[in-house]
Amino acid sequence: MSNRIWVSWLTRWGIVLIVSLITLAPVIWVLSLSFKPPQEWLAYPPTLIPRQPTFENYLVLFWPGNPVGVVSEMVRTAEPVTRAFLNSLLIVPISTALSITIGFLAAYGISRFGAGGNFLPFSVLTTRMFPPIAFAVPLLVYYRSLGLIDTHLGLILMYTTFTLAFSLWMIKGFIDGVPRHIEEAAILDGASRWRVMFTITLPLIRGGLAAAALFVFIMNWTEFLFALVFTSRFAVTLPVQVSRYAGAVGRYYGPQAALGIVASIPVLVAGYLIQRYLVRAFTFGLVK
Amino acid sequence: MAREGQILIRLENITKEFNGTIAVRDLNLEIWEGEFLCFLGPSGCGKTTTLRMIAGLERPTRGEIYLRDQRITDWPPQRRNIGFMFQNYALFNHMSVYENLAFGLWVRRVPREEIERRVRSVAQALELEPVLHLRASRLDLSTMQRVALARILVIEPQVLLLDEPLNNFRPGLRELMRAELKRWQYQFGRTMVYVTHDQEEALTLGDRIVVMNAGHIEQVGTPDEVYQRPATLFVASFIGRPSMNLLPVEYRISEGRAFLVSPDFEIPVDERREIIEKSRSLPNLILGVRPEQLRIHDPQESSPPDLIRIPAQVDLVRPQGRKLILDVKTRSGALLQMVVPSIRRFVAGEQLEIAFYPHQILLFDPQTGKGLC
Amino acid sequence: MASVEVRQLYKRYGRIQALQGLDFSVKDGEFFCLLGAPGAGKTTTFRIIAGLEKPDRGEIRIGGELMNAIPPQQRDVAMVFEDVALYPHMSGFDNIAHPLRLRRFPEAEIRQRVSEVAELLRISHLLHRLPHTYSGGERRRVAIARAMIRRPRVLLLDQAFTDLDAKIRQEMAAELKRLQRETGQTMIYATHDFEEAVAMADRILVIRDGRGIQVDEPHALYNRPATTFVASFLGSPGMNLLRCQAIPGPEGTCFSRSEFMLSFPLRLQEEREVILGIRPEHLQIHLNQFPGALEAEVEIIQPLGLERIVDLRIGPLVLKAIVSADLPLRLGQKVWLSWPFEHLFVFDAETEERIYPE
Repeated sequence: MSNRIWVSWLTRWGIVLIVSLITLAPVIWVLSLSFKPPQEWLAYPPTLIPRQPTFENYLVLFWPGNPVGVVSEMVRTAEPVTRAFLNSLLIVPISTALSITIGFLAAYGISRFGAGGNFLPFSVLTTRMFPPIAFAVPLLVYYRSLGLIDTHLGLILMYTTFTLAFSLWMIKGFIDGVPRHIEEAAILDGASRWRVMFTITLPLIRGGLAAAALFVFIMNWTEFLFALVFTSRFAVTLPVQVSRYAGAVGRYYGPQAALGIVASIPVLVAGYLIQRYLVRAFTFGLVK
Repeated sequence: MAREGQILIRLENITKEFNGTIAVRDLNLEIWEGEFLCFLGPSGCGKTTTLRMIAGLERPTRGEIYLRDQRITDWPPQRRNIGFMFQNYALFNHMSVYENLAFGLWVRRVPREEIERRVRSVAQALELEPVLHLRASRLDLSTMQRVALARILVIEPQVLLLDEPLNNFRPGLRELMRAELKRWQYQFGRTMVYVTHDQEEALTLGDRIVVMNAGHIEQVGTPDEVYQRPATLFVASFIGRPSMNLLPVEYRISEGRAFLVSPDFEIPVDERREIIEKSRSLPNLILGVRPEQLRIHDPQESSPPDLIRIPAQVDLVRPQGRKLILDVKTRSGALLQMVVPSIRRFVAGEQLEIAFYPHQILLFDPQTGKGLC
Repeated sequence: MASVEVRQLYKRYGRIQALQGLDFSVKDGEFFCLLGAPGAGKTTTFRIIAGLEKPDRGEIRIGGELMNAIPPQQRDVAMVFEDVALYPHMSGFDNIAHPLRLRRFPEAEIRQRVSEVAELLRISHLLHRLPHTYSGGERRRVAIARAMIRRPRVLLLDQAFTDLDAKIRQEMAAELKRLQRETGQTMIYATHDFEEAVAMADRILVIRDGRGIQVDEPHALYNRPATTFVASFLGSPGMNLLRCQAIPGPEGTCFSRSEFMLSFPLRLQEEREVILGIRPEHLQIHLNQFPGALEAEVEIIQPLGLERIVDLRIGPLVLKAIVSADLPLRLGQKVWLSWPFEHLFVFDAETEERIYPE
């Protein structure tokens, strides 16, 4: 009998291991590539651990003309990614925070008061119903007349708006899950609706908010189309910069790999910070 | 009804652990064919877990289950041919009553004519014919209960397991449904295993009652046995409403005669001397007398010599419909409960004389909790 | 503490008329009970009294003041919900302290009041823990503590003890009664369990389909029910009710059905259809036949300690009786029933109202 249990345990973990390896294989490869000097980029047979690891690929991203090594010779004419990196670090968190905040307020109104009736909550979804490119053209006209092209504000507004559908609907689901009676008990205790929202409802959906925030963060961080169309120099974000880099220095795999890693780091950090809220959300268990 | 000796199900050394907590510990039990067996105990005592293990919904951590001498411990629920009635009935709300009843047979690939025959026969027996075509979500609670029962009966299982099905019914309706359950049990003669935390329910329904506490069995017996001869303090105080009155007493021998002494009374117990003296907690014992055995004595009336009389004062009057529960306080401050028919009104502070017969009392060992009899 | 007046309350949800002219008052310091089947309108009434819902028509007065326009936060009404509704992310202490913290009471006073209330409800030892670690009974006590801490004018308990074990329910009912006596808190308790209602309440209102049927002290409801509904709702088993034809005669009235005929020395005006009632504890079973007795067959026996509940069959009828366990009965046995006049009730078959005793 315990043999059966042993076999099923092995099968389960075996599958997990295989799937993980397959999923992570490209990431591991890129990581290894980012530390390889030029002579190893295309070496055959391919190695996992670089024979002569170097940080130059990373250095070159931010300081293309650096006097240190060989790589800089190749990419001297490229643009440093510093500006794009900082832009992304500014625009994405702000628009994520805005999206979640507005989403929470709106979701509360819809869940508890039926705000917007049958129509309004669904109309928010229209932003996701069309291919983004369909919005790009009319928005371009708006933005030009408003002077928002290539501005941080312009992108922030756009990202907030287009992720609102996700925020609102995800958060609404979590708010629906908070029993009304708990809020009503607080009301009878004497709390105003605002107080109830922030001291009772909010703490109880912390996990949900964290999950929604992470989701929106990733969406914004990797957003390419609108950034491409609506920025040129000042408000360029990391995804756009990556594409330019690829175009400009196409065959330079090392720096490209390094850029890929660098672009992923903030998301990983965000995910790490938020994960304990995600776990808590599931174990809190609204008490019956 | 119960044919003693015909064992249908046997539980041998059953233990169940959940994440380090032991829900059921070393349980041994025989379930007889055709009987109505009740598991009785407070929440968390392991009764539902045991029921689920019999059904196959949980697997015992240790121990074996036998169905007519066949080892079924590993068998999945479908194979055991056991009907399980859940606490909230778990009907398929979007289906009609007919479809609900037919579902189990349909899943077991019973031919259509046979399904039709069995469904109609059970529906007739449980008076469900008028609602066969209705959607399950439109039924009232007692009809839902009948449908849930019918759904199991249609499969013609060997045993029916019921998990507190009457829990949320109000008292009047509960009594009606209990009588119905008993009637169906007579009619169909199936073995039924019923889980409840309501001792009244167990007393009225069970041919035998299994009283459980903290994962183990305290006593197995007929309703009369657990009521009149409780094996432990737990059983004595769990059975009966209100709970049995328990008082500490001292065993004393004076002038060659044995007595039980408390601040309020003295009871001669020569007949029980032998049994009492086996207890290792002497001289301390616990005396139990049921609230319904205490009566109010009119001080003017003469009384038989062995009647024990205690002066007391009414503390709280609690009406119960046809009866009254009186909380009374003795001179020494002990609180007793008694049940009297609600013939007259009582007032808090009223002085009374309460009385009982020595042969009605039960004695328990304060350390082991076991009954002395 | 205050009195509560509910006047002509109407409330409709979609197509369902939940309340139809509900009318009652609760005295200051009284333990009042709303008794009715699920769906009768108890919770709706509570929510309107608390201010969580607005009635379509009707008035609520607390302490004589009209409350209709006043928001729930300011009504000084506390409610214990059926599902308890403790704040899961706060400790027991914080849960109980919440109403006072909202009103910005000084921390020292909060601590003192919480420990007083916790003492009263015997939960002092678990205040530091979170609600999900509590047992069912403990959760309810914390909820009651939270409701009582600000000494509200009215405390509403909506089926506060469902889903607790039978024994624990009875203990809590006794405790709650004692608590109410000691504090003098005006309490209104909603339940479908008549035993709970009778054990705790000073007065009970029986509700059916959003209407009040009878309001009275528990023993009066039990001994003088106004309608057949009240008669069968209170009592487990409920009162035996039989439809028959009442035919007045020179010495009394004859009550007849196809199965039997009974005569009683009471006067009715005219021949009409009535419902006879007798409580199971008053129906008497005799082992031998005698004139005027009804013959019946023992169908079901349910033992209950020193008593037994017996189902007796007369043709298509089933009567229930409660008798001493000493009476020797077997299934299928023929017995004879007598129906004592002093415990007889007669109700009008159409209106279901009590005709006798007046």
